[in-house]
Amino acid sequence: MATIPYKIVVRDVYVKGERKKIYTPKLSSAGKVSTKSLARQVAVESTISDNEAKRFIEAFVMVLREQLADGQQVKLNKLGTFSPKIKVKAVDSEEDFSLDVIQSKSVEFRPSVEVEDELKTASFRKVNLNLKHV
Amino acid sequence: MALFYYKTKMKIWVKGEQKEKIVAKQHLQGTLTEKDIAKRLTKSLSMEAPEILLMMDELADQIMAAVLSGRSVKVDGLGTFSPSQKTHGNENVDDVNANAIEKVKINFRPDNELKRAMQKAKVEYYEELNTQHINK
Repeated sequence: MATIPYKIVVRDVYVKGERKKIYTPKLSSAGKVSTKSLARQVAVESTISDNEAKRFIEAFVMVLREQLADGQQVKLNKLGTFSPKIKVKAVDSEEDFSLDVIQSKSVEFRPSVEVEDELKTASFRKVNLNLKHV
Repeated sequence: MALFYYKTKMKIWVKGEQKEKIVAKQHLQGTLTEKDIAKRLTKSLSMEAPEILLMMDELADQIMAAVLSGRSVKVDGLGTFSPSQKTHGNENVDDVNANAIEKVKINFRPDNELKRAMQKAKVEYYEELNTQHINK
């Protein structure tokens, strides 16, 4: 069973004006998976070629991007829901209200219940790294 | 189509005082399901919808397998999924172990291509809702 590596980090906190050292575990990266290796893995588990898996991911991502930019949310049963999100500034009156209240537009991801349940099964292994001050 | 929003009144605490402010809220245009996506992709990929649905499941499984082994997954054009944690601390380093990891979460960070697509998205008022919400 796969495990997530963690290391222990130390941070300074102030409790009633007194400095204290607090130690906490922090997940440590076990590496990165690129789109290419993700496609290869999908191909291995399905009955398609690497190239077909790559084309599938590209086409799938394009649909997601178009729909999100069109104001629709996208619900994927296993993974979760992607929704367009606007960051806004509150104003005092209707007269002050204009397009400028919208400061940015981005995307929010909410994991599915299945993903949340899977994350609860995570197990960990401690990696021997020097104690890091954060 | 565009990102639609409406105006609504909201009570916000400012320096210990409650004030009524006007804010913009987003109105979602609808929800796209896996079936909708599969239907759209059948032509461009020359595959049947059930096969595409299975591949979407497989994609999710592979992303989760990587995240649960502590790796981050970059999906070009969409973003990066990575594990993150909620933990509690201890003053004694010898008492700190994996039990202090309260929860593992999945983090999603949109990549530049998705960010650009969102920044280019048109924004429009949803007039009907504006009237209803502001008059409440």
